Amino acid sequence: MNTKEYISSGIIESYILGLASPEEAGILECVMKNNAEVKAAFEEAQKTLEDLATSQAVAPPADLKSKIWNKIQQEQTTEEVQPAVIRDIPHVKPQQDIKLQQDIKPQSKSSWKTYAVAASVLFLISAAGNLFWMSDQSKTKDEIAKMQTEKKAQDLAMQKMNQKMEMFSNPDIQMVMLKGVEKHTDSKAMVFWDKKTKEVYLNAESLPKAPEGMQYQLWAIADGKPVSAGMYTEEKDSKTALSHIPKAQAFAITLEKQGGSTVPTMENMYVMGEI
Amino acid sequence: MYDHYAGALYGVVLRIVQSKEYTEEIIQDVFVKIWNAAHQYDSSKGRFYTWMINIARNTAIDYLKSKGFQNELKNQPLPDFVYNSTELSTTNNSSDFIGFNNVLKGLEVDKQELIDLAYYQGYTQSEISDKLKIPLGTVKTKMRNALMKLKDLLKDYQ
Repeated sequence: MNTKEYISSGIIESYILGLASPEEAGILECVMKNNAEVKAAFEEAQKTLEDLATSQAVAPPADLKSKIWNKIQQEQTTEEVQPAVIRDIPHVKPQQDIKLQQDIKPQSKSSWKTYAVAASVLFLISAAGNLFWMSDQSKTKDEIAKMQTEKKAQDLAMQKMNQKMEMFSNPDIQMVMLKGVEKHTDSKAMVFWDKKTKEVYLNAESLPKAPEGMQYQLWAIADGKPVSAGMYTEEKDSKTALSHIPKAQAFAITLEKQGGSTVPTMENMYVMGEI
Repeated sequence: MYDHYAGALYGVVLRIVQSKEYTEEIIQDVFVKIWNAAHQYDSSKGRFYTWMINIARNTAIDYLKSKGFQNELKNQPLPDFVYNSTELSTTNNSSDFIGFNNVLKGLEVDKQELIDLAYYQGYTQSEISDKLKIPLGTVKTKMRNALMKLKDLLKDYQ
């Protein structure tokens, strides 16, 4: 199913209405992270229902707000006071303590108690409110940061793809498929050899990661003799020429010590391909 | 927060339970729930406003489905509340609804019904499919079309 079909299937609307199955919801949440189009459709559908609610707003009775506050306050005083809430806002707390202590002295016993309770309830409410908005904000910030890194990674992948595409479509480029030898039948790599400039590029992303201190070395085999065609690093993959090779009948890759060798270590050969 | 969203949430709940008396009670629960659950809000799963609307909807729909409320309805002269409520919410004559904006009226009748069932009555999609005798997949795509149409309507509205 492509993106358009997925969006028009109505799954996003089901999800927002709370009607999607857990599987459907899981898939959508995952797709949204990776697909901007789906994410945008999701935002849009939410916006529509929000606009609907806004357009059909009805002014509630004036006393409703205070009723709700009373209810919340009741709940908070009956529930145990959460020490964590206070600990999280250290510079507010001492002031609060001082204030309470000052209040204690001149007041009679019963009234300072009432004030103290009232003050701590108010403080709790404001602290909880602050915490909530703070966490909400930091969540949004995290979210943005996450999206930016994702975007960067995607841009990079895109850039790479484009470069590869360019090589595929360039008529001067000869592609040489390198296939895994006995010990490494699963490995493969691709050499792009520009016949005009004689530059050699290598795409070897599917080779296993080279161990610490080791590096893949590309060899051009010209008239039966191996000639080093450059050291491979992941950064160079498909975009930086490893060397100039005027003549070759085959290419091969071996794993060598960092910096390369003058002659290939034959038992460490991974892939090879003839032109 | 209250001042900003109370009207909208009040409107949503009123439309679901169709009574100012109940709405006032439910909206209190809604805000207490929002208050208590605010730390559970997950921005990756939707916008904050949408999250609040869904709390309001769910609370109101739960209320509607709760036993006490259902019994009360049985004593009312309308025997088929579910069916009639569709009428009510689209044509409402009750005094509770004076001055009530009705954007949905701009939609075709089948789209109104669909939004009413799913959004205001909490029908699941398979329940809608049974009731309207249309396949489940069609319910989903129709729902999407209804919301797209609604989006256009709301654009003119603002």
